[in-house]
Amino acid sequence: MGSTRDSYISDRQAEALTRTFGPEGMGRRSLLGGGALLGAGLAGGLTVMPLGARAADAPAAEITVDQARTAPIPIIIPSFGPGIGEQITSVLTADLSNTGLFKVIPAATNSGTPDFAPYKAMGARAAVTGTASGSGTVRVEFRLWDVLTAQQIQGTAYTTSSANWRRIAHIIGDVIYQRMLGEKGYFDTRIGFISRSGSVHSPRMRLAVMDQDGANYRVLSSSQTKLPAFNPVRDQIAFLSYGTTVPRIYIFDLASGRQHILGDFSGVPLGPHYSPDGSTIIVPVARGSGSELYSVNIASGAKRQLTSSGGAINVSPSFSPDGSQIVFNSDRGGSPALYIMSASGGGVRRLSYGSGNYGDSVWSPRGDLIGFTRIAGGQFSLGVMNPDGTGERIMTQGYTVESPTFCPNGRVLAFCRRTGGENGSAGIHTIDITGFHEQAISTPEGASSPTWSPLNV
Amino acid sequence: MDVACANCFAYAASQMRLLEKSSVFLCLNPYYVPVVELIPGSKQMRLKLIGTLAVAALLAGCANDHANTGAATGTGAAVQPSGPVPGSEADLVANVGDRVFFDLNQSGLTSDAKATLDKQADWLAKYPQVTVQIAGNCDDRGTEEYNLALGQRRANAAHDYLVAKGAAGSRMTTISYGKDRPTATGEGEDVWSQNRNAITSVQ
Repeated sequence: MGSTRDSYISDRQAEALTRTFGPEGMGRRSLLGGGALLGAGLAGGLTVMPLGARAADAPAAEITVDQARTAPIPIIIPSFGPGIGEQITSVLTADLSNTGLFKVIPAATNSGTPDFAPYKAMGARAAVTGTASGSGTVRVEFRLWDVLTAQQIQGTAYTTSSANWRRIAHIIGDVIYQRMLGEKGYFDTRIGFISRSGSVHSPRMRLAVMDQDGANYRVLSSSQTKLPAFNPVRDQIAFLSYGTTVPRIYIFDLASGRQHILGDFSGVPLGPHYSPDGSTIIVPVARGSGSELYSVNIASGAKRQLTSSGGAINVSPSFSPDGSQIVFNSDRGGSPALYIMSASGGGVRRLSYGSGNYGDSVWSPRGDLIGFTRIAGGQFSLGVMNPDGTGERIMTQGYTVESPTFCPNGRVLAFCRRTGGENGSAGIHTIDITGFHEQAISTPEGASSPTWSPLNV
Repeated sequence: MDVACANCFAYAASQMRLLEKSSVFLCLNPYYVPVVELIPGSKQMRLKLIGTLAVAALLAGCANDHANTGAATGTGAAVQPSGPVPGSEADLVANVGDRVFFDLNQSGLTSDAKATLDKQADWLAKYPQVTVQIAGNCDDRGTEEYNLALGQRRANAAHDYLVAKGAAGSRMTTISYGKDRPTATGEGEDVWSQNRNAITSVQ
């Protein structure tokens, strides 16, 4: 739908685009008949139909994310009806509320044009109406209304297997997020991570994945795994497998459940780190006293050494979204700090100068911030800074807060929070990049090393 | 459940017992003598080793998952006063020292570490059939991936020292567990210093 800033595209515009590009271009969001259990594809397929506007187009009144942070958008979310309808309402409400950018006001089921006067009196800015009908195959209709102008902003009907109800709720949430805020949402996403169980002295560490809200938790591997990384464009997770054998990097395909090894290294590979186009993985390879960064072309297997620091540790590489630069973590200056270089390895310069040790460098998909971990005085902090090293700001602190990973629109970070003490626990939390709205994602076992997926396709 | 003995740090779930009112596990050794005292400190109680001689004497009897498994428990009456099987993991632990410790964020070998590795080199020369793995570990005051690299650096430092002292590189493998396999749990330098190590174990 063009740039991410064109919120409030009118239905008339949308229909014009549909005519231009055909229903395949606009409507089909997903694979048909994919049958993938683990993958992002919707089993049984999904068809999406625009629902005609019942009133004239709404004016393009934009609210920015920053404005919404100051004043969350009051939005009416009624029940979509009994059964699946109620479930969809519940997931949709949680998605929007958890951002801190919306103030959800519940309401009774309403499938017609709302009576805007009482909504306006409540101070609502937007209202949703919706229904869910059918079993087996379910048709979910939803409309988003501008309460102030009493006009429809968006109307869409989704027809899919009822098993996909959760994803429909997330997709509707993402539509509302984008229409109200002018940026793509991130509700229809997953988080890969390491599930931790057993003794704290020798934990079982397995690759796992869940929806961004903690639903559909699945453990994917039986072997010892570390440092997973979601491919930014494909339904795959790369990870380090180690334990009884030589550590290796595997690429796990979520749709097929198959995995393959990413080459051999003359040294011990550490974590995999994808390029934005998913074609390349950077791997720190430990040898002697240091670890140097190598880029590996996934298709050809060709390797290229990017750093040559004479025994220093170089880890946690992360590309800028345009693929031109890499931020990474190195102790070449004596203690662990953040550095930046060109994608080919040239022009290294230091980025962090604060006291303590820096690590876990990760570039936001928006390009505007670099997330990091800072360790000082026995405490961990999670922070962000501008890509030129200025504007450092700490979002949260604790005994251990680490492994930050950005959601696809760069507005939220997931990270691992561990408590100290004899029986310290590890879990995944999310936090708005402003440092507000930290929330724990509930998992049945300990969880660490989150990696946020791209938007499902 | 996989737990470590607070005395000898061996993992042997079936041979462990939980010390009363604590999270401390000890080997089920008929000659068990408490060598730890629980210090009612802040919130959690911390382990304190009472003395290295006492520990070393006891380590010989502790069960271990790599070697002499069952020897310590056995029938209860068959424990040999002669100590662990020569050339075994227990022998290494009791009579040589299976681990060296590192300073914060460092991989340089201290004089204590070198003394232990000298003894390990002698021991390896004495038992040429033995192969070992050197595992590098870190405290939890670093990030996951950095610590994985740091643990490898520590394992390599111990490995390279042993090679320099005449041990064949082909008999030794290295691995880093980063901060995933802490010997001691809890907070504070007493705990962290125990976890910054390179541990040699018989394969």
